[in-house]
Order: sequence, then C-alpha cells, then structure tokens
Amino acid sequence: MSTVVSRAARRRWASVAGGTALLVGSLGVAPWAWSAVGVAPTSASAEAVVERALASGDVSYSATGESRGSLALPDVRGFGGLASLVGGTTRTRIWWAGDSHWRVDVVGLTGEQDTYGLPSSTTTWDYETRRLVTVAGEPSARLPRADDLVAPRAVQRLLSALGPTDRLSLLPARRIGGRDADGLRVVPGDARSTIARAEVWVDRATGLPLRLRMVDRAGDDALVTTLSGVRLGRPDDEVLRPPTTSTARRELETAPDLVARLAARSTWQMPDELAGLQASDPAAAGTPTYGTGLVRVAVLPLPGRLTREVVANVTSAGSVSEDVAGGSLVRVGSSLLNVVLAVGDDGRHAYVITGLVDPTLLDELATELLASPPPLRYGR
Amino acid sequence: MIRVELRKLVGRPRTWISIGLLCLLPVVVAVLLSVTEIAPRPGQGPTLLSAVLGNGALFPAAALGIVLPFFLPIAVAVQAGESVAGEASAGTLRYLLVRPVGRTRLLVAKLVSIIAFTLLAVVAVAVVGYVAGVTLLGTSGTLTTTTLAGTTLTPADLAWRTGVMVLYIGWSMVGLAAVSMFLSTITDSPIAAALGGLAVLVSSTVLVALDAAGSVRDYLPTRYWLAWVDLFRDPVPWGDLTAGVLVQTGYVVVLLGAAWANFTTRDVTS
Amino acid sequence: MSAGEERAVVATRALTKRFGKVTAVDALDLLVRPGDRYGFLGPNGSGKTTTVRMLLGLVHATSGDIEVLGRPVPRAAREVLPEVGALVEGPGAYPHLSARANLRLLDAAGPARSGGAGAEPLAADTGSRRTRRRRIEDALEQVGLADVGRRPVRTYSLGMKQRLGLASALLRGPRLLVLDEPTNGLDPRGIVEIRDLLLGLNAAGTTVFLSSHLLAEVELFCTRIGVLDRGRLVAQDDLDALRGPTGRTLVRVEDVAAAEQALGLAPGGDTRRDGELALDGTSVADVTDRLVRAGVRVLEAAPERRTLEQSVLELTT
Repeated sequence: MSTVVSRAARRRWASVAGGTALLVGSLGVAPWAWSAVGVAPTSASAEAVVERALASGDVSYSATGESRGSLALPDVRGFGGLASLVGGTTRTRIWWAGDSHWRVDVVGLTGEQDTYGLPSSTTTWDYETRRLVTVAGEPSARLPRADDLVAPRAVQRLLSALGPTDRLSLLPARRIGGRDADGLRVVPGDARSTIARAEVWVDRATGLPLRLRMVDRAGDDALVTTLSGVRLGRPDDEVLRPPTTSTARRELETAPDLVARLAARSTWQMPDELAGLQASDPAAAGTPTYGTGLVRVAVLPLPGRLTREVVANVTSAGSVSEDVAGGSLVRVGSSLLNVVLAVGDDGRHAYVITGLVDPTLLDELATELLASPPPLRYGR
Repeated sequence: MIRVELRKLVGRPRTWISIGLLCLLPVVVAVLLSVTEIAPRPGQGPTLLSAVLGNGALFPAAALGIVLPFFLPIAVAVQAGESVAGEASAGTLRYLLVRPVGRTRLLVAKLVSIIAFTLLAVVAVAVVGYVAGVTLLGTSGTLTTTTLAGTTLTPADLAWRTGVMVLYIGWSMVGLAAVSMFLSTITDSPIAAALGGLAVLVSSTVLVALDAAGSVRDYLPTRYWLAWVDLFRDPVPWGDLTAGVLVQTGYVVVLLGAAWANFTTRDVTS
Repeated sequence: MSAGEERAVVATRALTKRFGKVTAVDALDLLVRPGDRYGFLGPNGSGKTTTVRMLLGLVHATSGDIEVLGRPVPRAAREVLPEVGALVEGPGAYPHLSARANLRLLDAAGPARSGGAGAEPLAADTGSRRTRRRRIEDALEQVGLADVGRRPVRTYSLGMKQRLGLASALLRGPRLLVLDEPTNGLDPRGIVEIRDLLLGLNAAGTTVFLSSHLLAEVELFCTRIGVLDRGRLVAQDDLDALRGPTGRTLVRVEDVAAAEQALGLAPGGDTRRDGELALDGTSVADVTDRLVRAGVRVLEAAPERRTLEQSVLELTT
C-alpha cells in the first residue's frame, strides 16, 4: 500500500515523541534521578561533622551560590538592600582563597555588586553606581551582606554559635550539586528561638558546607542557601584583585553602613545583662548582642532624627505602636525574625531590638531598657 | 534548493526593510544619546546602555540589548512564520512540491534561510551599532571599556565577547524561529504562525518572571535569553550561556522534528 | 519497467480519501492511456481537485493505489514528478518577481537531473541548468508571454497569471500534463490559443489530463472522459461513446403539418418541436424518402445525438 502514508506518519511522530522524551529525560530527569541516588551513610559523628565544617574556612574553591529568604522586612531607608537580601533570591558567584582573601559577586540581571575580602579591608565595586568603596577594618557591628549568606559562611556562623543545650543529629547523606554531602540537623534547645530546626549539608571530601536550610516554627523555609558548581582549588589572583578602573568613583570609609555608623557613634553605656541574657561581645559596647547559642538579640541605639523616620516608615507599613512604662513599642516581625522598635518618652532613648527569637523576649528587653535607660558612656 | 531559498531571501525587499527597521532604533537611540548626553540611570533602561556614553565601542552590545526584547523576536518570528505558510498562502508551495522538491529538503532549506536571516539581522544590528556608536558617541579616548566587574577590556577582548554575543543571540532567535516554523507547517496563515511564536515568547517571559514557575523555569525558552550579559562579566560565567545554548538546541531539535513529522506526512491542500 | 510506455499513464485502484468523516473521493478507478486527452469532469466539490492532488502526491490517500507513468505515487514521486507538468487550482507565483525570475527559481528548486539510480531513463532535458534559459524562453513563447519583460507578476491580469502557470507546467517538456481548470480567467481568444497549444503538444505525444467543470471545454478538447459525482466515478469512456446516437431522427421541414400527415402522425403531436420532428424507429434515408415522395420539402435531416451535457446530467442526478 504505497499510497497510504498514515503508518509512516505514525512512525515519524513516534520517533519525534521518542526523541523528545529522551531529551527531557536526559536534561530534566537524569540530574534529578542522580541527586536522588543514595549516598553511603557517613561513619563520622554529628560532632565530627560540625568540627570539619568549622575548620573548612581555608578551603579554597570557586562556586555559584543562591540564597532564598522569606523574611518580610519593611524597606527602610538607610538599611540598604537588607530587605531584598533576606526576603528575596540572591544569586552570587564566589571565589574563596581563605577567610581573608575572597570575592563574592552579587549577580543581577543587568549589573553586579562585587565584594572583595582582603586581610584588613573589604572593597565593594558597584557597577550600577560605578562606585568602588573600600572599608578599612571590620566594624564592630554592621548589616548583613550577601557574602554573609553564602552557604559556608552562614553555616560556620550558625555552628560556631551553638550552645550546650542545642541538639545535633545526623541526617541521611545526600548529593548536593553533584557532591556527596553529610547532613546535620540542629534543633535549638531554647524554646524562645524562632528557628524550629536548621539543616546543614557538609561536603564529605572537604568539610565545606554546601547548603543551609532554616525552618521556622510554622514549618516553612525561612532561609535556604546553597552552593553549586563547586570547583576546588585556589582561584586566580587576578580574579581576587579589586578592579583598578579609572572611570570609577573611589571612596574610603570606616563604617560601611548605617548600623556600623550608629555603633561607632553610640552614646549610651549599654548594660551587661538584659532580661537574663548576658552581653556577649564586650568589644561592641555601643551595640552589644545579648544571649548565647541560637538565642541572640541585637540592640541598636538610634539617634533622635533617625528614630522619627524609622517609626514613620514602620507604622506606615501597618505596624501599631503600643505604650509601655517609659515609652512605646512598635513590633515588626515574621515567623523567623522579629524586630521591636522601642522609643523612650524622653525622645532621646530609642533602640532597634532584633533577633531570631520569640517577640515576647524582645518585649522583655525593650521594657527593661525603657524602664531604666542606660547612662552616657564615659569619655563622651 | 538551499541556494534557491537564499536567493529568495536576498532578492526580497521585505528582508532588507525589516533589517533596516531593526537597525534604525539603535541609531535613533545613539543620536538621542549623543545629542542630549543623558544616559539612562544605571540599573534602568536597556542593559549596558548606561555605559555607552563616551564609550561607543560598547554600543553594538547595547544595540542588541535594545532590539532583543521586542523587535528582533518579531522580525524573526515573522520570517519563520512565513517559511512554509507563506508559500502555502501564495500558492507556490504545491508547485515547489510537484517540481518536485522533497518535503524534508524544503524544510531544511527553509531552516537554513531562517538561520541566515537571523544571523544577518543580528550582525547588521551589531555593525550598525558599532558604526553609530563610534561616530556618534566617540571612541573611548581616555575612558576605557570595562566589564560589569569594573575590569578593563582590551579591544580584542571586546571583539570576541561581542562576536560570541552575536552568535548566542542568533541561536536564541533560532529557538524562537523553530516555534514559528513548526506552526508554519500546521497553518496556512503566515501571520498566525508568527503570532503563535510570539505568544510562546510572551508566555515564556511571563512565566520566567514568576516565582511559582520555579520548577519548570529553567526549561523555558526565554529563561537564558539575557545570559549574554554574562559575556561582559569578568571572569565570564559560562554556566548560563551553556545552559541557554542547550535549552535552545533542545527546542530547535524537538520543534523541527515535529515540523518534519507533520509536514512530510500532511496533506497539502493550499 | 521497459513496458512502461504501453502501460497506463495514470491508473488508480479503489482510490479513497476521507477528510475526517467526509469522503471526498470514493473508490476511484481512473485509467488514462498514453496519448489520451482525458477530460475529468464533475461539478464543483465533486472531488476533482482532491484527486488531482493525490495524483501529484500533495494529498495522501486514505486507501487505494495510484500509479503515474507506471510508478507508484507518492512512493516514487521523486522519479515520476519531473516528467509531469501540473497546474493545480490556479497558478502560484511570487508576486514581487517577474515571470522569468519565477520560472528560474522554480526550475532551480527541483532536482537538476531527474531519476535516481535504477530508475528508468527519462527524457534528457528535464531540468539541467545548462538548458534552463532556453527552456524558460520556449515555455514563455508557447503560452504567449515572451514579451512581458521584467514586470513583476503582481501587475499581471488573471489570464496572464494563468498563462504563467501553464508555462511552469511546460518547463521541463513533461510526458504528462495534469491541468486543473487551465482556462480559468482566459478570454475566448486565449482559450482557443491554449487549446491549440495543448492539441499540438498532444499530437507530439504528451498525454493531457484536464480537470474541469466546463462541459463545453472538455467536449471540444478531450478524447476520453471521466465523470465524477460526489466522489464517485460515474462514467469513464471515450467521448464518442458518451455522446452516441439516441436512435431517433430529427427532421426539419417547411411545412410541419404536411410532414405529419405524410408520416401518419397525429397533428401537433408530441414529436413536434419548433419546426422540427423527432422520430423514433426510423432512419434518415427512410424519412426523407417518404417526405419527398409526399411532396414535403426537407430542410434538414439527421440522426439525433446526445450532447455531452445530457449524458453528464443523466449520470450525475
């Protein structure tokens, strides 16, 4: 039946469908299947995995990173890209030659912001404003930067803060970005922490943390940061050197952001203990953090003119002010990160109090601070 | 047959009109920029456009950035939608087939012609962009061309990066052309085929921007369209570019396969 | 395959095409012999064009077999089609190009040399580049378009476009011409010219398959006729067989009443029409003999023949 071609048509369509299936299979399903193939369980203990992750600061590598946060913060002027950093997706490229020699690019669709970490300074190149800003030294307090959310750094920060009551357990090993990784579950011992649990995956070969997932009490992902395309080995020095372009505006600063400036200029002698929590960092007397382990609260004194602006910003976003003895409180928060803005009646004392903790704990700190305002620092 | 198709492409006034219109917009932008010297604020407006003032050598890239979201896809979709459906609606398809021209051969020739058109259009925009950039915006002079990372680009660097960009954008367009070409074998209306291709483009663009489409996003045709910007980073991240080429190739293979299966066995009733 | 010349030029067996639930062509058995001027008649929508498209491999049959020039279609279309010239449902040309440029493109699009390995040798001059210019000029000359110059086709009248379509069908000196409504849009003079051209080609050995809904055209040109009605072939025969004598004799006389009397018919009977008598069961010789002997003057006497129109109407209703 040479005239009839319906069989040929069926055969051709079948071969096209088969080819498509093969393509989808090899491009889409195969990587997924590969990541699901079991990895041999680790012989190391949870503590040993933590050890190795903490010791991996000098592992040299280059990779791409992605962090996805769901912390809804109001976009307050002066707090830079904080809201988008913790509330959106940030894509980064990372070259790491050690804790004091690295480069992290925040890659946007039409530009990028590159931070170069050097032993005594950090330099940030911003393509869109064509500014090259060098910050000498490490300020006692500052806003989080994109490089703080790169998986190894975030994991090391989390693990180094672990207290004796926090519980560790092993998760089944799995593959992250093609590498065998040992899993670790961290459950805070203190019920006031808003973190229900954190999951950490650490590269079996090098101890490099590859992924961090923080889950809030509602069971939702609050922050997920992952490293992918990891290539071990020291990156080129060329890559780690900040650009020397002549078209850029160069600036030299000591305080990279509002928090750092406020911390440096704070006039109050903050107490050593608040709501039963010890000040943990005596060096940062102006902006101390209180607490241990995963329950940590940062207290940032605000100057008067900034206070009005921040309060206006926050209340316009829908938060309600509540009067307490000695002042008023404005609460902003998500299931994970809570912020209390405490404003004293005298108009001079105002603080931003924040932490990954239960809001009632923040309230405690705030009312205590407002009830007994700290004295001026000596020498001011 | 391939030579015949190329001759038709070159001999057709519409080819040159659409390429001319494509080149016109970047030239207008260059003229306005040179007259007003107001570059868009960084981070706003088309990619790289903020960097071209006094830096005309970067204008080919910016010119392609200007036409990429809209005009280039339209030109390519119209050309590809025309391929088979245009012959059908002009009544010439049946005469080609009884000449006889094998149906597979006809499709291959059409594909070659579309690829030629796409490359021609992209190269024309880049060349016109370069000429307009250098004459209207001036060469770098004291200013140097920089990457997005702020490092300096030598002219040779800029040349190969622009060259790869031309090829990458060209191939992205071929992916779109494959959609329109497949539709062109289904319908006898060139307009419908072109619009179908553009509809796919628009839906894909919408979905890419949607977080809820996360799991399929990486397989959408326009997912990596803007990855050519990566060529102007330093060092160049090849990941997205490679993924983009692979995704486009996947679409080209599947859609051309479908076009072939459909066209070689369908009834030609136009 | 050496017997190809003696075999049918077009033969279909139980050829059927369904579009969805509609049966466009139903169990068609066409037979076109070498040298035929075959008229493919049928009202609009009877499936003529679908059949033509199937013969040319444009539309694929649902079932049945087609052989063109002794080879199966569409499987051997590559070998068969270079020897077939076709005009299907009106001409098609790129409107921005001239007639010559159109023919050049069309000729260059096909294979340079027809017939693959193992195929029977075909006419020498079917598509080579060397002879292209000459063949184009010849074809334009044949259809009367030699002096149109470089005007683009979009400025052509319908008749000129039709002539261009014919020229493209003639370009390769085909052994079989398949023409679907070829005189569409031509003026009466053009129709005569084209008919003479086709007669000349047919005399030189080209088989012509002409599909048309115009009875007069087919009757004037064709030697063999197939009648299609709602997808079925209701008749396929030589033209003379289809319009054979009816057995009656027509007589025209000066005085009808006298003639009726002479022939012994009732005056004003139903044999009488407009000064003519239609008589059953007799012959021209017999009738004239009786009338002349009765002194009735005979103006005209002839055996009645069916017109093609009558046959077709009978067959298709």
